Amino acid sequence: MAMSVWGLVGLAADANGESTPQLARFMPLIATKVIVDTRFDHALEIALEAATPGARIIPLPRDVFELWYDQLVPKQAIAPQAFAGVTTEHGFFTLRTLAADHRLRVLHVAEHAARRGGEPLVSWVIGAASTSA
Amino acid sequence: MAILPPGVSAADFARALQEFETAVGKEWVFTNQEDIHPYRDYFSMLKDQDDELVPSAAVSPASVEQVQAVVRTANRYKVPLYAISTGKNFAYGGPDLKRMNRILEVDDRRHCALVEPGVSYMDLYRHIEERGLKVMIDTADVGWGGLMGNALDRGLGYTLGPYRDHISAHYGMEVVLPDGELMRTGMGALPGSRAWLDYKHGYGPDPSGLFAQGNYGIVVKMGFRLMPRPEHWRTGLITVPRRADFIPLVDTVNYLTDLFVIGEPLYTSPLQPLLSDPTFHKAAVAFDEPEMDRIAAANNRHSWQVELQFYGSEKSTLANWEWAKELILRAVPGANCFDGDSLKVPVTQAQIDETQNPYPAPYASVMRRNVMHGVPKLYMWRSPGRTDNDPNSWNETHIGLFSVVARSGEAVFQAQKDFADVVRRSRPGEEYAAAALIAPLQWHQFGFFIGNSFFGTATRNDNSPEGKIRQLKELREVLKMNAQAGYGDYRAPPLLQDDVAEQYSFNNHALRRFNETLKDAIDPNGILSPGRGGIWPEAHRGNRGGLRK
Repeated sequence: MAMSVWGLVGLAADANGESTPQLARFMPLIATKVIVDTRFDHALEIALEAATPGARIIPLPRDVFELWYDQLVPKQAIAPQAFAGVTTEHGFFTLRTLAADHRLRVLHVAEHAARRGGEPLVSWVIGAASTSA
Repeated sequence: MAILPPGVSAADFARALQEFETAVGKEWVFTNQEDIHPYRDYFSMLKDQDDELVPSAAVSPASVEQVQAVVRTANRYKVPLYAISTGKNFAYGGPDLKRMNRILEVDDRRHCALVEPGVSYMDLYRHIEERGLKVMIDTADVGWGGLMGNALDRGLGYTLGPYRDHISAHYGMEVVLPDGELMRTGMGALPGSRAWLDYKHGYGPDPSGLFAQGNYGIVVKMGFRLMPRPEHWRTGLITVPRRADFIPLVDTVNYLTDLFVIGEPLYTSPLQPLLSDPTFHKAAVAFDEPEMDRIAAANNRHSWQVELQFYGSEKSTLANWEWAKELILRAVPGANCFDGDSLKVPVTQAQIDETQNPYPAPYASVMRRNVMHGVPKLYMWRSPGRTDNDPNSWNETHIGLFSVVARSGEAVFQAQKDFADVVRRSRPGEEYAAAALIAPLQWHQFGFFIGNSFFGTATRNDNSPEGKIRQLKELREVLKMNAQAGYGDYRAPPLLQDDVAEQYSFNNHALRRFNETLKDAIDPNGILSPGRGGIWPEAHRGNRGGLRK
């Protein structure tokens, strides 16, 4: 089933910032690469909780260009694969904007309150509109 | 339901969309809210308000022929189009040309390239790197932008003058005109020419300038000069002790700039931290030069610094740096000169990422090595913190005011006083102490840009819709006051294009009247980017200034 980001936007975390089953249910299905802003411990915690066992955790670099071109959407890729992430809004914005050039859409996004002095985070999944979920 | 374009009936718009789909394929015509969302300005001061500029639809052609078909359909139904190149300017939808992303030619012996609109700085950079070509690009701060879109909006870069003025570095265009006709400029107008990228003027009037910040056609191919890759890169810092020393400093740097000895020079004032000292603050507000000099000396700080960069061989860059030092010491005997970086080119990624300051405190390098070496990055996007869900810092970046100022120390001092006066008039009771330390930006080879940073930062915490409108009104008043003092901006987002165009009003807007006479002749239905550059076609002229709240 194709999902629209706008239908899924919402808090997937309780007041303590704990992620809900919504994320855990969604992320494993389609994404095998999970981009994590490892500056924040809770980003990794959320990712590990939600990702498929065996999913590759990729630290979000300071500059995402190489990550984008070399790992996420290499030139030779016929059909870009879905990927997920737990990042700040900044990181999410950058990747979803690059993804839009390839007609990839945000399939899921949820907000997570800041923990332990970190920034608020978002978890998200980006993929082709026809990706099954 | 999408918002209809002005003056277009629902039936005609539906027919136009159908023809667009026939031309480019159904999947490349976007009409639902999710698909056209990226074509809105995420950071608009009128976001989610009635007056926000929003697209009715977007269409993404993949070839020149498809662009022609789209334009002809638009003409048939009088549907206005607003072309964008890579779609990263985040404002206004329309023909989105990012699918036209072929790099048609890169020649590292003639040092030039021919590209389509959808080619980003990163695309061309990687193309060059993968092939080991001996040329480099001059990139904008945010590397996902397109060469063509940036140049056509008169964007600027950071290397040597002829390359960092991106529109001046263009050599030849292929343009779809408003009636769908295809035209080439320069030597491209000569069938079979092999020198399209070598001589931009061709013969007769060269209309290529009309397509920058204009709305006379959709550029679908563009040639660029590329800088040959140098063997070596060297930097050095010059500081001068007194405030008045800025005048001979600028004269000396102008001399080196215009002999093409240096890349972009970076001016700043090491006195910025002293603004927290009430005595210095008071002196700065009063532009009390002797007192500012006294406090600077007491703090062992020079008043101004400029960081120079040299491209060439190891020997030539050293010789030029030695020469620069000799010139400045001749002009300002109390100047200090500090050696900076000396790196073999191409530099490594580690060298680009190196952040160690090569100069003794309190002086610091302000160079960002990636842009000086033409390496596109995205991290600059992070620093302004602009995201669609966090538009709080919208007025820190591209909404900033950058006025063109004559390239002399005296003109900079005058501009500092004029901008401080604008603040006083705009905000009675407030002072702009930092005005006395504003340093010019020399993005352009032959001109200074100065931003009135007061209006870029002082109000950014108020992000309520009412606060944004208040700030928008204030910016518009500031633009008027700048013009009254003789300053015009060099660039504007769609929301402020009329206001900036209004500044250029010599002889009852003779320039605008000329531009609009041309517009009406070339684009009688007014379908291409009405309002861009402040140029309104007759069909939409009543909308001039209509984007005001």
